[in-house]
Amino acid sequence: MVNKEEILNRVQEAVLKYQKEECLSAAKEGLEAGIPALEIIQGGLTPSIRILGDKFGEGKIALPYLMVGAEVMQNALKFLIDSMPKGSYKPKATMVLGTVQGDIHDLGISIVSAVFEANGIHIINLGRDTPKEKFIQAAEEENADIIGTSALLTGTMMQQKVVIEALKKQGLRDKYIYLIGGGAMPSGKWCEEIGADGWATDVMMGLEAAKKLLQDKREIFL
Amino acid sequence: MIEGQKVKFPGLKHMWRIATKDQLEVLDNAAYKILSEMGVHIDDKDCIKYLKDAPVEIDEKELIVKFPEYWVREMIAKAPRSYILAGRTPDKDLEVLSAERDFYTLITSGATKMYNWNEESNQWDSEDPGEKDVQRAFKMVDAIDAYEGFYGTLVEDVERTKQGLPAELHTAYNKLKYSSKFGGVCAITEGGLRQWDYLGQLAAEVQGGLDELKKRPILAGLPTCIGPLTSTRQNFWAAVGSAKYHLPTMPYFGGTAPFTSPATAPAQAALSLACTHYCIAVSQYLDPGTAAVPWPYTTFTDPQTGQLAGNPLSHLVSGMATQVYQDLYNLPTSSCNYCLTSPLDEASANWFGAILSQALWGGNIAQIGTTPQAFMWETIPMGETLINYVKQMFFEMNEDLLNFDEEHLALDVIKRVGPKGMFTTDPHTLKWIDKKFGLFWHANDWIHEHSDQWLAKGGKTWTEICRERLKELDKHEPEPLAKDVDERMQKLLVEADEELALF
Repeated sequence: MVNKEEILNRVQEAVLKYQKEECLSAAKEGLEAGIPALEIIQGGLTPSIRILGDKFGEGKIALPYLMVGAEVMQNALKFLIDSMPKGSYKPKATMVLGTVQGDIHDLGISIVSAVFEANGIHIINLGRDTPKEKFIQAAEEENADIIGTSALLTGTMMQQKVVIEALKKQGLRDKYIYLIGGGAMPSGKWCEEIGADGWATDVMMGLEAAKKLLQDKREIFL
Repeated sequence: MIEGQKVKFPGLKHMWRIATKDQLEVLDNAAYKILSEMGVHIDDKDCIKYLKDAPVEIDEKELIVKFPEYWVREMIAKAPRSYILAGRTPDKDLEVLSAERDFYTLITSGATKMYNWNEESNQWDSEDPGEKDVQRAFKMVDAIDAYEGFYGTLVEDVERTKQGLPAELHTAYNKLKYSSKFGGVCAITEGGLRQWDYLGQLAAEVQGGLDELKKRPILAGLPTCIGPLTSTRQNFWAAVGSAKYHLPTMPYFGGTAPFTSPATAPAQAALSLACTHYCIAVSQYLDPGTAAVPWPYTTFTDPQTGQLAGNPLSHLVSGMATQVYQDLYNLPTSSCNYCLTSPLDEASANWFGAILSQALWGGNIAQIGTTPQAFMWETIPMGETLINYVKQMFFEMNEDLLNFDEEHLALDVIKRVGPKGMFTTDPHTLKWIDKKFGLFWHANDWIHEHSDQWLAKGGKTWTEICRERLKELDKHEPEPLAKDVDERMQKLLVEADEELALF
């Protein structure tokens, strides 16, 4: 008989050791042994990625490792979610994230994805050069809490305004927390000017802003 | 993954050369000519007596000794090419195995005045340092990995000096007590050879006896020519005292251009080499096989103001003379870089240039000299950052990383990731960042932060950040000495005070 603790430990260890196949295999065995998918997520995947997130925050592991850990977790998470009845899994918070239209710099959002995932915010990464319609469509489909737009270039940061204006036009502005970030931002002034909820120029600053806004606006405590 | 692991500095694959080997030989030959034809003034007849059986030419009236080239070469050949500069325990030892490979950073200053930042009045207070300051400095350095030992002291025990007591011995005791790292040179002045005896006994207590001290020397001597071809009795005693306890020597030239050293770089280097050759020769004659770490330095005095100043010329000369020992003798050497101007921001910029150039030119023992004229505590963490930056650069230049084989060129990886991909999580990236992560240097937050964030946190200058780090460093408690060892050392100090007090 398969021991539940043993399986959850294997899932955790696999994330901590960056073992994609082993993580997936342990998750599969867990399901086969009758452990609910949600329990494997909450008892195995979530704590392990948080451990990696904490280690990154303390400067003990490099960012690429956190990103590899997030990949390992995502792979198993996708499998487990697919095994569940549609709509039965709801992460604590979900964020739709992308680089704005015309901007092809996506390193920042990859970093944000890994760190936010490690802190309990599920990320729908739309990638680079994302038009406003795609942000809104994804947010609606995923029932997101946050829309995050990134711009590295001062020439493309206007697109952050384009997205928020589109949200206003469709009457969706207050439905989402709107976060802006990226290297283009000259200051918080831009955030105020376009009416965004928060801004950041690096990942940890963004995480703090997201956590605070989720707490204040959604009563979600990560 | 390296987590808190101390990584030995790997040394350079290609040291930068200022002069060709032929040019270095010109300098070296000039040094021999100076020693054999002009000689060295040793200002004490008793000191000259130590050389009576050596094949040297002594002018007893002028107290000038001329040294034949063959004999100096013979003596330099006796100096070992590898040795240990020991810490209190073997894990703190600095292994100098080759002139081409091993590189260590030792801190020094020797300041007799210090500036303390007064947070209430928002200005600097100028003060004489005392024993508490001496101890504070040693404890701080003990906490910082970037400083692998001491070359000299940081601040001097001025209070005790004013009382006519052998302050140098008390400072050495405090160094041995409040840091377990290699202690470096001790400058003994009026106390003479008796004071050297006390010093040797203090060091022997810490290392577990005289025999152990000889095997793992934690202190060193600084035989010197303090002026052009001039060796005082204090300079000479350093060779005699070191020899008695088989301590390494760090032969040094204390000339300053263009006053006690000529105005041109090759002349400065030749004179400097003559003086350090002399110091090595005497030390090896007195104690063959003792480690010698030559420091062929020339300082610079600004001819417009008469102030001792940091100057690129002095670093160039020091680098060139250093390379004579490395390339012609395969002898590890010492180089020096001081933080020599009062405005800390200007000092740190100059200092960085000096540290980097000395490191690139290959001095094995780099002296990281904080402000010697008027010590500022902030320079301790400043130097730490500068050293770590240079070490990080050197780490990238070692042969394991700066290699041009398939693995390092990684064309297969570039192909695998492809035009639209990212290398961040590729196994090749993970493999190679492991070797570098958390090694030596990363920017202070304000360097890569957005300026508004920096301002929001108070817009602190680097000096202010260093000031905050001092508060952290002050919390460090070094590994204590064994109680009985400490008691015996304190007893020695009481005896030394009674015997050597001036009044």
